[in-house]
Amino acid sequence: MPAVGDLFFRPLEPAYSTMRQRIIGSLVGLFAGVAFLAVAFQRQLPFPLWFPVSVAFSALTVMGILIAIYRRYADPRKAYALRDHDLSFRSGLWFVTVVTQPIVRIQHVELNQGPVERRYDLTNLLAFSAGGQQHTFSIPGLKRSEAERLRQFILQHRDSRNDES
Amino acid sequence: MTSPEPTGNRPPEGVWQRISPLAVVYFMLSGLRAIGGQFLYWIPPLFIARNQIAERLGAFLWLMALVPVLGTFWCGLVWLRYRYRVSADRIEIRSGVLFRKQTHVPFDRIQNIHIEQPIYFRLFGYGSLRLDTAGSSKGEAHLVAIPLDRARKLRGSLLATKTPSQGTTAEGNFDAHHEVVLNRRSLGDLTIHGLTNNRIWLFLAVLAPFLQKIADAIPSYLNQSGVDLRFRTTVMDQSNAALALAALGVAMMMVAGLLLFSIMGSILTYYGYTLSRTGGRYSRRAGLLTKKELGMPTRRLQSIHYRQGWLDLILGRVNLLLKQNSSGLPEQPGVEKSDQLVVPSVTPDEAWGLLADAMPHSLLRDVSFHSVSKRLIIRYLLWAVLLGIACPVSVALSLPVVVPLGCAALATLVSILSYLRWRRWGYAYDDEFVYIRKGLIGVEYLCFERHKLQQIKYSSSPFLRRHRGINLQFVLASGSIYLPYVDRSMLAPLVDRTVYQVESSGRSWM
Repeated sequence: MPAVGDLFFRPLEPAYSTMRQRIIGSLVGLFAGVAFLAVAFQRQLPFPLWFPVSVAFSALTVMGILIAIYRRYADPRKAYALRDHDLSFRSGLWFVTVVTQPIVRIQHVELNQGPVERRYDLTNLLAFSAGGQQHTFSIPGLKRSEAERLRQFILQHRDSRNDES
Repeated sequence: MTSPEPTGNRPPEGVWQRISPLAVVYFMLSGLRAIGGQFLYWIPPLFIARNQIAERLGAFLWLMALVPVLGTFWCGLVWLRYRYRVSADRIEIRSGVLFRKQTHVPFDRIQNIHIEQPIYFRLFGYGSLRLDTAGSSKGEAHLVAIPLDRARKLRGSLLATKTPSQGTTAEGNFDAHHEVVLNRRSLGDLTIHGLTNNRIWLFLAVLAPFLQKIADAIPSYLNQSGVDLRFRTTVMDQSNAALALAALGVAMMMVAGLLLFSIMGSILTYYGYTLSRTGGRYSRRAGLLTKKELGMPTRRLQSIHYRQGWLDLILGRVNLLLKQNSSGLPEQPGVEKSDQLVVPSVTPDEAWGLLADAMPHSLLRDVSFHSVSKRLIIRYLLWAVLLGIACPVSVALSLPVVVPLGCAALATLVSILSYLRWRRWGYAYDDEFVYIRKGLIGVEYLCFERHKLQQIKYSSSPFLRRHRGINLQFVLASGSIYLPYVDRSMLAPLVDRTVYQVESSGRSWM
């Protein structure tokens, strides 16, 4: 068993990064559009309205761009690793975090797919442990087949170890 | 440590089944309940738009009529997408219209089984089966409308697959005659507890229903006793010194009052405190107005915290916290569920005695702690640096002399606190336990059994990486425990070793 320090990490599907870039891109476009319209049609709008709207949506646009830039570099670095008895997930650009989830502690498994993710054939794998909701182990951006494979791996692993009781 | 077995002797998978269309009613009612819960939030926008609504009343009513139609349509879709499949060892549910969800609940992880029968299900002989695991407090698997006999049969087969040690039997067979009292708290102890731990909020919470009455009663009482509440006229006549004195007096009275309330809060919650052990189970009984019992099976215990605030250090007292995970705990009548059991303001000797009783092999008392990297001080010091910069800046802006002096004083204080905080961080480990020490002026020692770990996280920033440091976060069923700035070489004994122990020992976390 390799040490957690030198695990072999597999990157997520490239479509994951593409999808997230497009989502944030369209949001940025929307925000910028609203901000622009608010400025362009300021005479039509009652005065106190156009100013806060344009400021707020400009701020959202800038934030969106910053997030997009961060994700552009951070998303491709997200990766997961599989060992005989645990799953790991690595994320972060500067602040790198690795989560390791032993399979024996997994209570139940969920595969999730949002409407956008369905178009990119991406699936989230969620593994719930007793550590609580905020520590739910999750790997996003998996191909459907790969997610099914991981789930099968988790469930079979549990079948082969009934000493957990 | 074999790899998982190939799919040889897998039980035959069941077939995908729909729940009864009655579920549509259930979905609609829960949707209505959700909307009803937000009813108050709907009032302001409707009120603001009341004129516009009145102008276009017809259109508005049409819109209102459309809502139930769309709602029914949506609930129909939800029902259509909701399918489940029961195989020999697990239950699978597929659901979600836009956000598709596929849940897998293995039978041996199921903690609680509820069958619910709303009136409109009872008429048709249907029931809803809810299954909880320890993974979260909400129902993970909810078969909304299935025939009642099938629900009962499922529950029967689920209960049959449960191994004895997982059910309530292990803790259920205790004998009331073998109750050993471990600790009692006297009124004196509780007074100390009230002084050292601000329990004012608890006190207010207990009194909340009566607060309005008290607030009403005070002015009328004061009026009767001849106190004039109209301060303005009197304040004008006083000199500054007298005012300052009065303010000081009022402040002191408030502090005294708060302390008094805190002590009363402590007595209200902990009066007649008895901690006892019966077989494999702790129970705590306490309370002045309502006597509450908290129960905790010893094997559920996740971590023990030996906590001393600065006042506790002076008075030589300790709060001992026994933490567990309460979600998925089998329900028992008359016993409240709680995430932790507090033993308030015991002496250190009593605390170590209790620790030895709960975790006999723990060396928390004698272990020598490794300190964390000194660079942690640098991270904390960033705040002091900011204040340090504010100091000359405020001089340059020719602000009143109080401002730079205050900044300098604060910067010094933050520096001292940074050092103290760093000095308190410490960790140690042996084969069974991980021990952590932390604090600022006060101190907290805690330990947990390695094999009870749920998950582990480690992280590093570029600054940390340059110096081979990592932050660790141990996730237990009772919460997560953070340890900053340890050397990377600790990955092997703390992370690898712990994970290995979880995976190889086969011991349960509960």
